Amino acid sequence: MNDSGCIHLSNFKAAKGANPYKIVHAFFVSCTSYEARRYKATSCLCFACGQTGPRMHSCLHCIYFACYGGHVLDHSKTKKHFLYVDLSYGNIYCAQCQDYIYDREFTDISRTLRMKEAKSLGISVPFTPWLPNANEAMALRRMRKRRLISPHTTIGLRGLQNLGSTCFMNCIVQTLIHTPLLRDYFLGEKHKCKTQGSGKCLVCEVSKLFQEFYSGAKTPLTLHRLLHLIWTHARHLAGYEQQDAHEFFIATLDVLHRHCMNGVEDTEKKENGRCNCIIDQIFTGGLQSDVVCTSCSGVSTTIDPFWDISLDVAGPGSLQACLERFTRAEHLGSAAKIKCSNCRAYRESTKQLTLETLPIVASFHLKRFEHSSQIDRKISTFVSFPAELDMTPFMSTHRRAVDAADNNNAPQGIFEDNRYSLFAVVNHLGSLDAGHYTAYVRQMKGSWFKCDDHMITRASLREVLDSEGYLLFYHKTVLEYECDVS
Amino acid sequence: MNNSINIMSELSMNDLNSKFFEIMQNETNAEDAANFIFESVCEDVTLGVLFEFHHGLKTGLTELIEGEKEEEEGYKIVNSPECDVFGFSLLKKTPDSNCSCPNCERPVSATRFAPHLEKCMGMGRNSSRIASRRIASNSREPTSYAGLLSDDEDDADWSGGSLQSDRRKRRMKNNHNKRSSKIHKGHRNNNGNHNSDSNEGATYETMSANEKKNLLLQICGVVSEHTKKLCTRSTRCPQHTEEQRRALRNSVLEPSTPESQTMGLADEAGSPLDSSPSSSCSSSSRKRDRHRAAPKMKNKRDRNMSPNGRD
Repeated sequence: MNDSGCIHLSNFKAAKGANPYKIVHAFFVSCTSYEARRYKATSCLCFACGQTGPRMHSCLHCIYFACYGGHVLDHSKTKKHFLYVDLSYGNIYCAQCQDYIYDREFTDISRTLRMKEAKSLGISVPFTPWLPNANEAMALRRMRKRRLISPHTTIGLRGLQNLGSTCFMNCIVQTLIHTPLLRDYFLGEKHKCKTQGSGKCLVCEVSKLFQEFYSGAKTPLTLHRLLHLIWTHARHLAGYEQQDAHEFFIATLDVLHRHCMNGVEDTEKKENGRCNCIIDQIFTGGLQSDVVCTSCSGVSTTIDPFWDISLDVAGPGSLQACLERFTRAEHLGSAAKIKCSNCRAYRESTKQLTLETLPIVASFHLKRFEHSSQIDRKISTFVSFPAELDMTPFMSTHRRAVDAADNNNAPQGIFEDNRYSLFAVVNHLGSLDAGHYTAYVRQMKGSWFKCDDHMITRASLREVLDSEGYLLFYHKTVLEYECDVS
Repeated sequence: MNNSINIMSELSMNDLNSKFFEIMQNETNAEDAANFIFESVCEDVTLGVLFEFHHGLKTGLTELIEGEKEEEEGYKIVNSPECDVFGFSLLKKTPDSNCSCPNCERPVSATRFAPHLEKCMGMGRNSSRIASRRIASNSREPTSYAGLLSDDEDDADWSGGSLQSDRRKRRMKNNHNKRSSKIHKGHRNNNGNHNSDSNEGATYETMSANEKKNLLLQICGVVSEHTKKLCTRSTRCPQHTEEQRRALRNSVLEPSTPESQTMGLADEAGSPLDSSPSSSCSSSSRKRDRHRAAPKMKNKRDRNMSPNGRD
């Protein structure tokens, strides 16, 4: 990789250093202050034609703005000034090379100033493409072979040894490993851990697991360290006897969430009081609960975070029907009066749950296990679930609009896209007493596999959709950029 | 529009502001301005993509990142109904391996790791009982593990040795107790409580359909040609083949009901019942607890909605 500019730029830097570039960038490219923005707004016009473009450049040798429509060239001919800063991105144009050239020192300056700009405007840092540092570039040069994920290879697949009725763990691990955003996070080595190497961090352990899954090895993995870590940090699982995959999933997320904090400085921990660890970024949504007083129609609203949604299975139906029931207003009855802050009295009320914010991964738990004082039973009723799911009807905003019977003014904007696609299904086979868990996972679009402990076999989407379904995992189809303008 | 911008560079910010509002009063101007902004943003974004692309080519970064495609031959998915994607036979059991217990650092058979860890961490239902017995035996014989081993002899992993040596110990113990049963289920109850559902000398003729079914969920069950006894090893015992097991189930559980078929399937799918003969599935109640899929669901919805330990 060669990003050391050109001979002309090197000569310029030797004579004048990087300061002229810094100044031009800070004032007219990144505009790191209010002052700078004012300068840019009032003075960035081509000195030759007075136009705002096309593509404004600033001379690096003298104070001169020129558009790319010929006037950069004119200036370089008359003045013999050959280096120009493009005012949109801060790249250098060399009129002698007749091309844009890239210098690592200037690129780094540009990135620093962009961060300053974001801070000054109170916005998040804009996207910049990844650049390898010297070590990374060396590694890329030395190891030229690139491992690609394709639907025809086993890369990314791995069987998991059953450690003695640990299929509940294996199916959850398969699900997590095949969660697209988690994969990107871990294969991008984003987890920076303070306790590195201590063997006590579950996030580090999962990070290692990802390396194992993508190593190309074929023998089943033994997750004994993972099990030990989770049991150590989630004592309430009470060990071996309690082997509900759903409970294990929630406990695993909780331990991961707590361990994510290992590598984070205290100051970064919370953004607007919200945890921004990778687990919360992916799995946390907001559940809105509206309690409406039947006397005064006063509404009391609370919003709670959730990691998954547990749905009652009442007769054959569909996931959508379950969600519809889940978000329906429910009369709490005369036995459960709630104090209305408006009436200052205990009143009958209705309660409605809706989804205020959606997580990137929506996890549904079908309550197939019924435990009451009289009877423990498994409900094997067929509940259909779609490969593609639109969550819009279950959103708080949508429900409000429907209730107001005012569909024309539905607040859901054109930018809102709440489509999800299925990427993992955990199934419970057998009875309550003797059962077994397996998981279907999507390795890539249209490529499904059945994970039964150490055995991984190909599966069809039809097979997945026809399975009973205990835990269903959906991934958001379109990811929005964060735009938290404060 | 362009004319007005021309003037701007000579104006103060105050003048600029008032001028701006004045110009924007005119709807055509406002529309022009909106178009101008839109086009500028479009151009800027396009330029960004081009610069990224140009940067990659010019500096050689694209070439560096792309490298050379690795040979896929060794990783091809095996497409065969008898194998999984890696080419491992679906019928063959995976070879067991040892792993080091992170808690006690002893080598433990991987397939028995979870029950070991439960006891090792003192988490199980019986852990307090085991722990107190261990303490008691340790105080009697502080320097020896002998008491500990005989106390817990169902707990294969405590020996730290291979399964075989463990089995040998067991067999010795068994002989010593003059127990004729080959059924390992009885082993746990060495303290005199005779196992109520023990199947000593049992043949399939004397069992009810339900008993047969339950038994065959746990053991291999193939009848030996020589001794005419049932094989009491696990449902994946290496002595007998899947075919033998399937044939036996078909003959014993006939007429072939859908139930027997599902049972056969569950076995192939690797039922969670311990696959090692030293399994501690002793009483039906214990087994029931262990394989309970989903414990107490009361108030589950409320609890689930607020992830544990978070405010």
